[in-house]
Amino acid sequence: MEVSMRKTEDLINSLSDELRAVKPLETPLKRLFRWSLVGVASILVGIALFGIRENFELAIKDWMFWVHTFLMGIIAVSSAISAIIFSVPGRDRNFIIRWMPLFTLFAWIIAILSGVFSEGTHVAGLGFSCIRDIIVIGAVPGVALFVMILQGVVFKHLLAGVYGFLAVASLGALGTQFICASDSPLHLLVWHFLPVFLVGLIGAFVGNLLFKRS
Amino acid sequence: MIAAEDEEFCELMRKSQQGCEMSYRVLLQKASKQLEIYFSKKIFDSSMILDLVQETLISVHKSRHTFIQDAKFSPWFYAIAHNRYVDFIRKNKKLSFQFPNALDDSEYFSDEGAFDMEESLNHLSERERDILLLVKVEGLTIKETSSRVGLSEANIKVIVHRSIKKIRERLNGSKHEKD
Repeated sequence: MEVSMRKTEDLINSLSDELRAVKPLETPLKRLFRWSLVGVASILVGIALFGIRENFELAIKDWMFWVHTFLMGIIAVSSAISAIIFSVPGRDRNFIIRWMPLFTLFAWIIAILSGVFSEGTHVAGLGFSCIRDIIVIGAVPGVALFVMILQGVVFKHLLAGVYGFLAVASLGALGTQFICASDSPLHLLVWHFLPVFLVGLIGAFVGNLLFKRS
Repeated sequence: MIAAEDEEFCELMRKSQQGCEMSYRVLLQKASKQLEIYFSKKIFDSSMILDLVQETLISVHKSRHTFIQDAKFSPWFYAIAHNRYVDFIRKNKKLSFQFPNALDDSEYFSDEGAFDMEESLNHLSERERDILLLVKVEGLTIKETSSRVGLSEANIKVIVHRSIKKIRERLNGSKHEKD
């Protein structure tokens, strides 16, 4: 016991001796704001690269277009803020922070499925270009978000991984809304929702690898 | 940790982040005492407690940049301590825990006067376990726990009550099995 006490004193002395000034993390909201700017810029670049959807004027008159756009935006923002907050010890216990992204994801699938079951014939079509758009738009914000998360200390690495990837994929899907001309619910389900969902699942595995316990 | 104490820790940490060695030394000394109290309510073995205290101090040192300056100190500090403790439990499956006050009933104690709580606690959900430990082991008030976990005070009371009931039922069950 005496030896251990001395070891604690020695440890305190050595930690104090090696102390260097550090730059404290910015608040999660400030970091979310910076990430959102990167996200908006990436969407604009994506639209500039692949072109705005040909039926854009028609689409913005459809309220379901705005419902989907709003939900994707909320998923992106809530997932990003959750992933960022998971990198700050002691901030991750809030119920809303923990589960809001999943609730909004659920709301989005409900909105899509309500369309699938309420309307007539649906065509999923081929949407490989949608997946390409999601990846291209999400790439830079993805790197930015993961750099931000890695600046902190992640204890809930699985959730941080899921929400980090979900944020990036839903941001990509949000941008794709303005590029892809199809509003068919089945197309949205297969080529927009499923990729976002699968990327979120991949995030669980990557999170475990990337955010090792500190 | 009371509000004034928390504010003192915040001030020391702010100065430490700016590189003030003296403040940091004081902070670590005070923190090590808080950690000893925190861990001694969970673990009997004093050498293990000191190991955990030292590991937590190293984690605090590595994570000091993640303390956000306008935030409270205790949620940040105890989250790190709790994380170290969880790691420790994972590494050492069999641990003896002290009995929380509300369950302090001699009939549940073994001959050695201690009870292995790990199994009973494992049957609670993560949230129930955390809240029970905060209230009954760390000794936080319902109000403090409520602000720490972001649930209403009424909710905390219900969760603590249910958790104790669950543990009691489990202990009574295993006692009857032995009889």
